[in-house]
Amino acid sequence: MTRRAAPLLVLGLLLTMACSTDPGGGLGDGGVDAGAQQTPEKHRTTAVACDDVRNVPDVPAGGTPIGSTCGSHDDCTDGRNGRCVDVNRGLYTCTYDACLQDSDCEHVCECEGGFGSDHNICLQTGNCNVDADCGAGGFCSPSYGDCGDYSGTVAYYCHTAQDECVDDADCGGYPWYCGYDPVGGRWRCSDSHCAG
Amino acid sequence: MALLRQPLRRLTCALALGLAGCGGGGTYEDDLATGLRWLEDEALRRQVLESALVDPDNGYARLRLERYRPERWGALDAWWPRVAPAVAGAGAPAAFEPAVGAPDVLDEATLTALGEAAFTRYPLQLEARLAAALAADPAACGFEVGPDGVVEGVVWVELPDGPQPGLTCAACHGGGPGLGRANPALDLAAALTGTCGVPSGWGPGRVDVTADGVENPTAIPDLRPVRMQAFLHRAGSLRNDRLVLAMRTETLILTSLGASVRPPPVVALGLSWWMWGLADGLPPTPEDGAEVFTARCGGCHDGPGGAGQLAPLSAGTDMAVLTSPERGTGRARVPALAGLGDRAPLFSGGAARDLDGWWADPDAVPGHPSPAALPEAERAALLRHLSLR
Repeated sequence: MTRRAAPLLVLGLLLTMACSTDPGGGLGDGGVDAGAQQTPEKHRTTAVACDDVRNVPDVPAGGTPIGSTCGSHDDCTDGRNGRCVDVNRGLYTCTYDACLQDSDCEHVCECEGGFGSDHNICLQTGNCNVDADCGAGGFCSPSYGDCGDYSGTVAYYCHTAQDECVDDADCGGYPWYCGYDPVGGRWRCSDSHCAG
Repeated sequence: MALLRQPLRRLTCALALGLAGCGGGGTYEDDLATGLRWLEDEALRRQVLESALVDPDNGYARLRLERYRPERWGALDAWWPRVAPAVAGAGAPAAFEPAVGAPDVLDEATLTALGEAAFTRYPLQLEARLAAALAADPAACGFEVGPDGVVEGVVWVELPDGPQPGLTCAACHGGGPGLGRANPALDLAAALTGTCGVPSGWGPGRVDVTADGVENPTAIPDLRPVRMQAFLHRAGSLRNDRLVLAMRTETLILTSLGASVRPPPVVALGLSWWMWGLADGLPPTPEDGAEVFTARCGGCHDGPGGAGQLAPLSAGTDMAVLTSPERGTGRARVPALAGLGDRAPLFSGGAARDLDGWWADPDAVPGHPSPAALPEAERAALLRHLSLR
């Protein structure tokens, strides 16, 4: 090493140490600048409130099939904006808007996140609501759970410097997707579907 | 030399009748000493996998042939999670403890005890959306809830970003008296989608477990007669023995957790050892109606507990399940019938609610020979026989 290079080396080391922060948002412990990382296709820049409009058709004129738990929208009075909806297999059940904004929930209020219907739901876990929660240059993205796309978005998580993917396209296509690994605390390619 | 003997061994099995003993995965001994060696011997672990696969070209096989290696899945951290029971109507608890612990000494008893504990406590799938169902009415989704409110087969799992609900084996295979029996009421899809009380697209007692892009839910299997099965999976993807069952269980848990961690191999081995003993609690083959059974069913159901080898697809009852790009083998497994008397649902896709349901509507079950074709006296005798199994 030359005399000229040594001070530069020391300066470089000092800068690296100053930039290291916890993984999980902002700059990772490997010194990787999260702001320079690929911007995810899906990320939550701001907490946009959901609307309270339910675009749900009326139930069939002849009534709902046997096995349904409601016969009309008027039967659905146990919550906000109740609607009698065909959620699957032609059977109807009441669905409600659990929330209109994040403040109605412990985590994110997922607009139209209900299964088979357009009702808003409170997600039950996650470590961010918006990108700013993930530090400067960080991104907060929706993730599936271990049952994959069947149950839809289950939470929002910050991207980290340890991620092995940012978008589903990074994982080669179905059945692979980019999802948050809650055990390891990072985004990874997964094809996890329901156990069996 | 062992590898050269294998093809001849399989040819012999294919030609002979009722050789359920040839259903094992390889030429190793299926005993405790080999099981303990399996924990550490990478060559043996690989041999178990390769000799078990019936079709090395389906998705299930290709994934495991590629990744069941020391430098791939073998390099994942072994996960010893901390858990707490899930209680109906309650949220996440504050205190957790290890799901299971490694025994100081590994013998038949401690290995089996480890497996029994893991069956009800080791989470093999995390699912945040279950929290809503747990807080509301998990019984409405078909989960079994004890008098103390504990939800069978579901645990809260301690995680870096906050606890999440996790499913254990017992969630699906804990139905009725005794573990291992399928839970016919569990509508997992409804629980995951917040639609409990309305049958889901999968329906109660059925789960879609293949990532093959096909909607092909399969009936939750009855694990009690697993040691009698010559093959594992509806399409018979794997030749069965205790080490194959351990490997199958190990990779089930690993893939269900998104291949982020792996279960400690000793946990998978324990689960296999415990499941292997479940058949001890099943009734013996009944004498009543045995002649009719042998005459009418013994052509295929000729092994221990009525299990058989692989049958043509034409005898299969759910083509979407049996021809899965992930697990299909071009054949259909002939399942063990021990435990049939209280098993539900029946057949690969759950085409029959239970034995009485099949007898009442045999046309609802395509492929399988119909009892409706039997003379009345034989049909009655056969139903009596099967209900006693």
